[in-house]
Amino acid sequence: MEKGIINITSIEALKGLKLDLNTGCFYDDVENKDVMKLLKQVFTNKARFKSRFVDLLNSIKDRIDAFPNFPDKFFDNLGEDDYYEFVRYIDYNKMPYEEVEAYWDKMEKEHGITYDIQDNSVFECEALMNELLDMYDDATPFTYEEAFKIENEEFQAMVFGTIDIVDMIKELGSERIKTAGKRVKHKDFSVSGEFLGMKEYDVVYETHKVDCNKLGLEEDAYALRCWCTTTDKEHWLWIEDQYKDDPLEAVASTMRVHENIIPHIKEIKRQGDILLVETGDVDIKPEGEMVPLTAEQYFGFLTAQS
Amino acid sequence: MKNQTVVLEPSTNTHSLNANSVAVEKIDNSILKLKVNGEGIVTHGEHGTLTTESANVIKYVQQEYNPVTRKLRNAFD
Repeated sequence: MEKGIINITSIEALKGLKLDLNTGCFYDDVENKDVMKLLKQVFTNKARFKSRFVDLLNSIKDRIDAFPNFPDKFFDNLGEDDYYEFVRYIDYNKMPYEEVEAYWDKMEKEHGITYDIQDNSVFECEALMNELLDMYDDATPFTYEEAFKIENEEFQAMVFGTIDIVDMIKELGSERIKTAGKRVKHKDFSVSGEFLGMKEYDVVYETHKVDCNKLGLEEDAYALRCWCTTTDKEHWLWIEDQYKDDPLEAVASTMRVHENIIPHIKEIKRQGDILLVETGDVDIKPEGEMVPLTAEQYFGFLTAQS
Repeated sequence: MKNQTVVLEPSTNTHSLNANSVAVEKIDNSILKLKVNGEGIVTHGEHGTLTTESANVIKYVQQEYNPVTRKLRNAFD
């Protein structure tokens, strides 16, 4: 019988981590011992690791809701009218078996998405969980250098999510090179998305030289320090050497788009680390080379950020 | 709430766009080409809400330099 895939959604720092019980691995290209390093970083003592991770995964075999991506696929593919009958399950992610079948039947008929409903017993993972428990004592959390060298981007993002970058820069040691500010006038939206008017405020960016000996580098590296307009939280972004003397060009250089769309950009909105590039009525397929925006382009196009 | 919600970037705090209807074309793992009917309400657990006002929207992820591998990668929010 085919075994299941456990999609970990309830532990914030591990959201997106999947355990494939067919292979007994979390990733094809990341070894379990490396995942264990991350788990040790998240669960800093063994008792907590057992109660919050091992026991949770062991309990899945008894649950009817152990099928992957239910809420994501749900929202991706159904309209409000379609999903009303399933809406009461969103928060609980629990449905009687017959309704799970009905749900996937609907998904297959209307959206061509199929999923084999698996018997609960295939989520049995006690042997593997015991192996992880045995590995706990010898595992050491990732060093900064090791974290930068992780090749699987999804896993690396999860590891960096557990590292406080402000602490990391402090520990490595940094020296400010240049500060630049700009007065901007941006669109302001309410929580529900209504336009509230234009808001004028200052943005400030600093470039820093960071001592990267501890990352195993002989040369210095450079980073940009900035502050989120919504939360006022401090953020750091690593930048290429050539932008170290110009903080505005440095921030613009982190926004890379396909060159062919630039002449058609009407405005850009930034929410955290995503950019929404609006081209009005021009339906253009992004293709060809990706280039960094210049400071003039970025600040000229940017009409809202949060 | 409008009729369709798409996940723009699945992370610990997901960026989602809600609109009357949205056609999504995946350009690569992090770039999406969107055809949005009407305004698109873009929400996130931590950052403030934004509204898209164009029929054609392309979603990118900010890029960050990795000083060890010397390559660009998606920035982590």
